[in-house]
Amino acid sequence: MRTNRSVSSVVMVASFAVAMLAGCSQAPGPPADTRKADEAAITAAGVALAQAAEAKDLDKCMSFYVDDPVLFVPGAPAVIGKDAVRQAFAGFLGVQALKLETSGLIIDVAQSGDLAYERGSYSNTITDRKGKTATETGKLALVWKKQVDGSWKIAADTNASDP
Amino acid sequence: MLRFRSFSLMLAAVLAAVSLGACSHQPATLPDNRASDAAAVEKADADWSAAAQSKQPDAWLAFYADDAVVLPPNEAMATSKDEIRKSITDLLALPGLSVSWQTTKAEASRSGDLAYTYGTYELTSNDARGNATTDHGKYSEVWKKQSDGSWKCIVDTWSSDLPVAPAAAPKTKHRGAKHSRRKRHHAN
Repeated sequence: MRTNRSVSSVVMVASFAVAMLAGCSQAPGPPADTRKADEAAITAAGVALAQAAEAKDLDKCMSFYVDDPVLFVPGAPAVIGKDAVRQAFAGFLGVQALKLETSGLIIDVAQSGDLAYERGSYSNTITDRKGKTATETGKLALVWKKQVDGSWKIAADTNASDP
Repeated sequence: MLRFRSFSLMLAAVLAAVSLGACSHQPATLPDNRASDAAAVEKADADWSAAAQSKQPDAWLAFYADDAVVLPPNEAMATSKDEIRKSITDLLALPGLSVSWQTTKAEASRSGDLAYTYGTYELTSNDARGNATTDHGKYSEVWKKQSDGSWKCIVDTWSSDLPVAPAAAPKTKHRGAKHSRRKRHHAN
């Protein structure tokens, strides 16, 4: 029965090797580099936030912020926490019309795809309740964080006005 | 058949070695250094504020990465080393200057390559009449780990907490970077 034993040892050996390789492929490898897709998702979220603001949809705007965001605007103390940011946004949206534009945006995502920043310039054209239109320009720096559901939300929204 | 059997054993050994070798080449899950990275960035931020006490532009500029950008209020974005040097040199040349800041929060990415901080600053300088005026505000900074393991700032921005001074009140008009302000973005 030598032949049988040999065959069975080959089978055993082969199964062992296959099991090892299978175990290997299931071992945690390096996290996939998702930066390109993350950058696209952040760009899309930024566009959607501006559209929500122009539509004066406060709830939708707030859906783009983490639960503990900070908002820094020139000429006012730091706005800290979701309720405070919501209140500030309500004031920002409480005009007759808004047109929000950005330019020169640069996004950089951490290798781990959990944290990113975006910076660039903004131009807000605001029509007040009296129908008077003014444009404010400035610079923005945003910190984005990936959420458990894979979406990207703003943790820090910081702005500095232009001359 | 003995030869065949020993060959199969050898094959087993080779396969096992190869599969183990393949496994060992798979990097293990990254160590979670977020807390120590955040602490390192917070320390760098504190060191920066301490270095600013010298009022030497070089001491301040050493905390920026080569590709840093500075977004000062009421000035154009500074995207080159020369523009940043000019902006910071002007700031540090304010008469009677005293400036310092304190981190409120620091957070790092899981991969340890990116981090951010924000906090509050206080700045005193003399106005045109030589009277000391104090400004305070908030700042945010993005940091990137460099190839030597150090953390450097790649984005630096700040703005005053104080309401925009009315245009018709020139005696309260401020000059310079860190404490000047005119317009508001949100929340007005």
